Amino acid sequence: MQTLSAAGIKVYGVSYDAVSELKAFSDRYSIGYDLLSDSDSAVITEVGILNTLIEEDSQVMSPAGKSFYGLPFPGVFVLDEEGLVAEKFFNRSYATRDSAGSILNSAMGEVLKPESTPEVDFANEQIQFSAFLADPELKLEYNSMLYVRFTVAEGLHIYADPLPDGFIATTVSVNPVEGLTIGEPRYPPTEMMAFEALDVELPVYGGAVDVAIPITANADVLNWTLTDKPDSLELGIDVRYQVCSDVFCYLPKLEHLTMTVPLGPLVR
Amino acid sequence: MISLKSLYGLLSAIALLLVFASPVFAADTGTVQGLHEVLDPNSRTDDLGITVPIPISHPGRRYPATDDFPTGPDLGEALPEFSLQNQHGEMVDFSAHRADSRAVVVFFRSVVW
Repeated sequence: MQTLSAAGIKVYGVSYDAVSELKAFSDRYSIGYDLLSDSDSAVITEVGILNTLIEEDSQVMSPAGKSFYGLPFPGVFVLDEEGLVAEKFFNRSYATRDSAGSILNSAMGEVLKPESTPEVDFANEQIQFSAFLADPELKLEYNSMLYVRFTVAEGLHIYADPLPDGFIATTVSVNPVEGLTIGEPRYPPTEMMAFEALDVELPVYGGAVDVAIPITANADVLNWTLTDKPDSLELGIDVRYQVCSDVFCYLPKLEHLTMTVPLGPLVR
Repeated sequence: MISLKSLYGLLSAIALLLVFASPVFAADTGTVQGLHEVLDPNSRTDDLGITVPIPISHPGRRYPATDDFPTGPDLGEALPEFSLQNQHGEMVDFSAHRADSRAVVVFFRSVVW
């Protein structure tokens, strides 16, 4: 939160709760931003996210005595300086959310590398890379991101597909782990670089590069019905790359990194 | 007596309106399929493998069966104008309050249960 306010980014919460309910919550948790009371769900409806799966005349009340009708399909909008939607985070289940780290990176417009998050590094003279998590821990159904950040020495570069035979593209893969949903790696855009000696143009990454891998803890391990939940899981990350200059290439390499990912406690 | 030509023009205009509809109409909210319609509604375990004491047919547990559900304005579009009271009872005109800042707007379910 400090990062957002320090960057001049304003945060708002909107719900169908009454002002008094929001006040009690705000006082209890020392909320410094506005919690806005949309008690008749007019704004939720106008934005277009009213949960229409709930019947308007449903007689079922919550323990707090509220009708469930009026609830939204919950989600987050990240708005730019002009108030236009820059990114949105919506998940079909209310139980799935996007982590604080994910939303922070989106709002800040860059991938931050917080000190408190798990990180493993590798470095040699040509290249260094750092695998780090967007959040300090993974909680059940909180979508987070694993980043592998490459920094290549000046005058050197690493490749991306498509490549002719004999050239090795940069790839990151994470071994499957029970209890984690691991998505496909997202590679950043490349530049085409001309190699006069070879009379060819090849897609390269130069400088600092982030590969992003979606990662979420799921109910296979973080499960109310399991008695012996682990505190953490081990991630095995394989990084394959080849560093080249304009005129020669180092041997292709495969590095294996192991990261311990803390699992957050289950909360109702 | 309406001419065929002007009727065609009217129908084309309506067709264009439907094709380039605003996001509010892009997803027909009446056709969102709920998970309770696809799985056993009495089940206490949803398709994420989460088991809690209330069934998935319970109004508090209703959520879409697929990713095809309305999510409001698209990228590059704006939220509607609105003014709501905050937790301190102050009226907040959202766009005036946001002014020129970037913002994160969280639509959440509730602070009470």
